[in-house]
Amino acid sequence: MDNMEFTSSYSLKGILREVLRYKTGVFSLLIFAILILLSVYAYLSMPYDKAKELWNDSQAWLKYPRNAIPTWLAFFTGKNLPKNIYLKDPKIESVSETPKIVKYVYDINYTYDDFPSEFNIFLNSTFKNNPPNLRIYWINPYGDRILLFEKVQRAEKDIFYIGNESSIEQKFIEYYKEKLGFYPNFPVTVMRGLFGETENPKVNKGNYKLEIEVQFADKSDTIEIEPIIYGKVYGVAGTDHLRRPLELGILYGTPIDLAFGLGASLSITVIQLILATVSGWYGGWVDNLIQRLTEIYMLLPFLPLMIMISLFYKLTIWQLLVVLIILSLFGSGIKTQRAMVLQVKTLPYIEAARTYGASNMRIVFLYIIPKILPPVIPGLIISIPAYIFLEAILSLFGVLDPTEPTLGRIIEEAFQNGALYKGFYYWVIEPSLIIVLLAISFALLGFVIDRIVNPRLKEV
Amino acid sequence: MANTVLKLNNFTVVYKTQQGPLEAVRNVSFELKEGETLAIVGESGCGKSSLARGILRLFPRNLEKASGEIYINETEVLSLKEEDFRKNIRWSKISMVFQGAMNSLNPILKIVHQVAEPLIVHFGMEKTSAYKRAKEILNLVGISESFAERYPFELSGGMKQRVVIAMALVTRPNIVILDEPTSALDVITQANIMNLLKVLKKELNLSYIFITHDIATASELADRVAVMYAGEIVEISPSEKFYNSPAHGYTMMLLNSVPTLKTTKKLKSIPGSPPSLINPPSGCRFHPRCQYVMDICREKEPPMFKKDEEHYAKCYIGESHE
Repeated sequence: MDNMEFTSSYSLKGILREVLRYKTGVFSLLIFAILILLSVYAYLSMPYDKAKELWNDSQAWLKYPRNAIPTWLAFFTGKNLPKNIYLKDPKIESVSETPKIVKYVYDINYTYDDFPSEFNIFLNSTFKNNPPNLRIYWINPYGDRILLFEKVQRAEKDIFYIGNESSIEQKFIEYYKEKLGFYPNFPVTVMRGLFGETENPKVNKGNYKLEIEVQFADKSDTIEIEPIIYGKVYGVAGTDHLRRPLELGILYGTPIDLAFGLGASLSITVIQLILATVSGWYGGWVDNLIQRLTEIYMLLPFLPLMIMISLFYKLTIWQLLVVLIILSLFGSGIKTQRAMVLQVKTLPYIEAARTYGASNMRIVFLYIIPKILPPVIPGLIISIPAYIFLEAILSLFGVLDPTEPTLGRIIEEAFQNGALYKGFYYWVIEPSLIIVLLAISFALLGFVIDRIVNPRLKEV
Repeated sequence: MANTVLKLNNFTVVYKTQQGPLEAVRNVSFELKEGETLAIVGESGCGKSSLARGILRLFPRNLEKASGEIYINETEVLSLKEEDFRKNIRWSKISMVFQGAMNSLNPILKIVHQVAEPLIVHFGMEKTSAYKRAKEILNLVGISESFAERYPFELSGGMKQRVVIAMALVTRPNIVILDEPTSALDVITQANIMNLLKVLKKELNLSYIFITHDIATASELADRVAVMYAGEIVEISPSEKFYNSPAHGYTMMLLNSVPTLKTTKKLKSIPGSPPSLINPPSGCRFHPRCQYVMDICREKEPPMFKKDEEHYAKCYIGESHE
């Protein structure tokens, strides 16, 4: 059908205009436009391979908060939840020359309503023989100067996890005991000790100081200090248990899911359509073979088979797509489409085509398939979400390639890490919502196209 | 005397059925001259369409046997290989206008492509030249160029029929088989199409085999009329003789069942229904329904009697039966 010009109302533009006549059509196309624009933006800003590598690189996300909720969600809690505080530009004082001692002082103005989640200090030093020794002091708004700990750096690159040090916790319990005159009647964690009021289990808003005294072993030694106070909110979509921002996974996962669903639905429908037409058109033993094969295929337990195959062969998502297509070659679609072919086959125009010598191929592809295509297309579109769901299901069973950031993968990880139990609802809801949105918009588009190709359903 | 373009000799088509072989067309012989129209009339299921398709060698899957001889321009074509027949005869020498214009066009092809389709698949013609030729022929059947780019559903029934006729003529055959070309159309459109067919015949010097169950339309076009009953041609005569002096019992009763404009007569239907072709009646196949039935009709199959100049009938009426 090359270089056939269509009259305007049957061109792509015409179809689009027809779809846009329905509100549901506008809605679904809008969602697609947004998702596709986001995907294009994601792919333009970072190629997929790099994003995938980054996604699986546990070291890349150390400076992000763990399990932080999306920033916009914090608005609904009514509290001003802390964001990450990157401490920079310290006041540097030289305390003594021999041994070389340098003091770094960071000013912190803490005004959030909740305690931070973690407090890490990233160290990067160069030294001749021995690593530097660090003394870390904390000055709270009461003006008390507390020595948190004294420690020698273990390697050139080191991280001090202040939040996890039980010795610091012990120190704060002592401090509270001294301040209150009795053993504190609430549990004292490091974060509470650092940022809390002594009387109440509340955040003490005010100015804090972090003092780090570094004693170098040699004069030529240097150090870079990067203290980070981790917040409880991050970005548009929050972060997961490995501190990865979820928006990255969702942005790169959505197009993968879309491609998976579209690829599966399109290729399965087209192959089934061709098989059904061949079966109906040629009849005889070809028909018999295809029909019996279809019946056998329809009896196969599809999901267990898929799970078994992906367990045995450790397939990537694209190899799985091929397996899926092969397993769905002879689906139930063949039965209904063959019935349509048998009906179309007897129409005089097909007989006429045979008379003037059109080949079987020409009749199948130019005469029969286009005729039975209209009722097939809505089904094609509506079945796309089914394959996206299938991807999610297989991911949830943990049988898909774990390095691939897909929506199902994100849900699976949330599930594995007890997101719902721990109250990280955003972690499950975000990818699920995208899947549901995709499903709804495909379904709506399918219904609209159904109404267009099936005039009896047309709205007046 | 015009040349004979098509000649059938004892043409028989037998189908396989579960109850046994079925003779849909039995010992049909006739000649068709250049520029002549032969109407084949008969009731539903009498084998008209089987005969038409048989001439084009369009047999259904359950064909058991097709025997006899078909000469097209003095070449025997029934024994040709299928491939040779398809290449050299079908659609290039003889083409067909199918029954039911409504479904005779591919709904997804524009009519110009539709008409060009035989040229493209049959002669492997270039698309542009095929389109040009298709537009010429569409013009000839009275469809203006502006309609060429339309799809079948945008056309009226009469226009669709014209397109189907254009499709049959685009390869310039000498013989066109018209299988009930007007059956799905209203009377005015029917008249238009009949006029068109007359004009085309004159212009292109075509020979028609015009298959219909409608005796009135047959009278419009036919030079000769063949009456078919139960797979056989029972009477073949020039059209005036067919209407004025029918010789076969079936033809007589058939004409009695059709109203005419000029005379007032009481219409009489033919009792009974067409016989089973699997177990046809003995003797004359029409005898169970014939009002002129004689003893001999029941026992002996009548041969083709010559009743008059170019007038033959398979009937004992008016014959001295020995």
